[in-house]
Amino acid sequence: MKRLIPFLVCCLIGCGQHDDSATIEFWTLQLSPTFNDYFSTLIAEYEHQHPGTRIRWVDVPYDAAIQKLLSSAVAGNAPDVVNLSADFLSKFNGMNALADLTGDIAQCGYTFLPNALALCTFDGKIVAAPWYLNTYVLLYNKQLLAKAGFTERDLTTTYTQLPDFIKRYKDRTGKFALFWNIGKDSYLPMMLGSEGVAMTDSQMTKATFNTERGIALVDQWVELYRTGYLQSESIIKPGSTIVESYQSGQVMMIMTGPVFLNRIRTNAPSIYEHTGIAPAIVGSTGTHELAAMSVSVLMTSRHKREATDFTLFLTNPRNQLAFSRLTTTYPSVVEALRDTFFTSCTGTLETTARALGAAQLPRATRLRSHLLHQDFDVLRDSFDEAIQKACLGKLSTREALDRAASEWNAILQKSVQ
Amino acid sequence: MNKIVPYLFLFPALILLSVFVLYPMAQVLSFSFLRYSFFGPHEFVGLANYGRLLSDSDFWRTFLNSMLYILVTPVLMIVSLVLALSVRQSIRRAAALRLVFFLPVITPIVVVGIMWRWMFAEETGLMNYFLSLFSVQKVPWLTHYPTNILSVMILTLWRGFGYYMMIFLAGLALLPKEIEEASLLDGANPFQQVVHIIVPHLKPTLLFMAVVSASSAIKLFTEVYVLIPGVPMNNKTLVAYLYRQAFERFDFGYGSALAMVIFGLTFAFSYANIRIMERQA
Repeated sequence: MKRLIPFLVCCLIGCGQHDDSATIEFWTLQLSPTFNDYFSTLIAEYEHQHPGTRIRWVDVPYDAAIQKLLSSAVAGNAPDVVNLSADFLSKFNGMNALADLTGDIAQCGYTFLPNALALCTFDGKIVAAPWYLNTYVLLYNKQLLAKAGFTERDLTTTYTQLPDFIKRYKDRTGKFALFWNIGKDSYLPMMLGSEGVAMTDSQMTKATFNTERGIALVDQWVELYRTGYLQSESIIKPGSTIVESYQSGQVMMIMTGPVFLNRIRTNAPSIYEHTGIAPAIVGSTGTHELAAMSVSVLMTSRHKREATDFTLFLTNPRNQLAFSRLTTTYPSVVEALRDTFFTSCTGTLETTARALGAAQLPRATRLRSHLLHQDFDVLRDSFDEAIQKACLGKLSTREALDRAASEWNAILQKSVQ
Repeated sequence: MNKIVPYLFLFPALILLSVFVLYPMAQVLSFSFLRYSFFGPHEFVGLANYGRLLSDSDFWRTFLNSMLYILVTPVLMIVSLVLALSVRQSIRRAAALRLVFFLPVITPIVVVGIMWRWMFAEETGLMNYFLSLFSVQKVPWLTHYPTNILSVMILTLWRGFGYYMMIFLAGLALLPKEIEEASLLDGANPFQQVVHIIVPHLKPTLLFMAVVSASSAIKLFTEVYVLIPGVPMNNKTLVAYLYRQAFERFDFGYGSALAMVIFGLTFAFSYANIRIMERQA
């Protein structure tokens, strides 16, 4: 009894005390187990610097991430900090799910790349901190190129020359030069953007891809498909199958991120051995596509201040540089990009790709600008289906694009209202 | 007390059924009247989601495709019955064949999907290669409608006949040998035996299979998802459309209305099947 009374008193006192510690749940997209060491070191350092804060890191598979995030939101246990691809920011911003980080980013003490920050900004409000970036390079199979009687100097550098090269390669070898998904998650808007044909006006109120020039540019690809110079499935296979088609030796070249070199080395060492790298093919504006990962704080977080602080810690120049050293991605902050790591080329494929990508980064932007609209998936599907109909001969390119443009206008106008 | 006992035995199953079936169904029904919001309050929209279905061309096309897809049911039943009859002897070779026919059932659908996608590949696939041996032109197995629906049907048949064959084998095992022997002595040929002895005897099995395979056909999703993910929505089926609306576009209200329509269809088909077969029996 003598011991029990002090114990009960302590319990009662304990009940009355407020718990100051904050646990921040932080979700990443498919980075475990490869980067376990990086995140455990980073989290340990943060917790050491912030004794009252605990970080709980959860890694979720890329494909299931959005469903998991929404389920957790419905269940009332959404994470505090979440890694989202820039494409989904518009969707979540449209749901009022993302906290406004504008003031915090302005005062963070380092500078995000303006083109990366633009992907995270909606109506002047920054809803995410840009994290790691990627852009495209051209990977080609030197052996297949030589077998077709071409040299590396014959490789095309512009979209204008590309259709002709694709034809010449197929005519000489009977095989496909390139795999490009033109009808599913179509990359044609990337080509149009690089050629200076925007998908919408700057306010996203009207489709602008069905101009004479836009129609002529798309028609080249429709003709390539109809005349058998592109694989039949290039209208139904998504971009995720690009690397698969290259590493299986089906095509001679692809445009993809340098980050996929690791996958090719693991899955197809013999193809990797013969792989060469060249700058990504561009249009008349010389611009490249920018792919970005970002980190957001959810509105539902009960610890927004701590969550924002951790977000800015994760994306600071030192931590971004350390992360980039483990991958073939690029940091989104100017201070980290200045490091010689991104310019030094030791002759390996990875360092060549890294240096090429880094040189292209200042001219990289979101060419598929419609992906920044909250109904991007509806717009994307409408464009894709138009291309599929044109390729299968159900509509002419002009009819297909005009029809898609009128669907886009209805969607864009609805969201303006 | 005696009256309560049966309910006590049913109670655990009822609990599971309520938690995992009835409650989710009631929730889906309630969602179908809402504009669902994940991060804010929902908005009650009455029957607006159902009204939207009526003017949605993709809904009607996917509905039509699902109905078209039900054609796979009689083919599946006939193929499975023929196979069951051919492997029902208890000899070793028949046992090996049963195993071979059942293998597609236990192969994971993702593996099956990738394998058939390779086989249906238009330039490099096995199917077109075999056709080319007979000077047949390339068939656009995956890109053209309705050929791509036919491809999904072929995959479903290949994957499903082993399962239904096993059910037929179970039904055939209950068929008294004397009746077959008597019909043989009376001079019935194998075809007459099947039509006049075996099929009437298998009516309960046929009823079960008709209900299960028709409702599976209406609910078809995975095969479409793995084989032809990138084709236009109007080449796909109702559940694929539901998936797009609910889980890709996150329109849970509209997705729930679609789910209720699919439920209604499945229920109606199953009920009609049962009534027809009962009447015939």
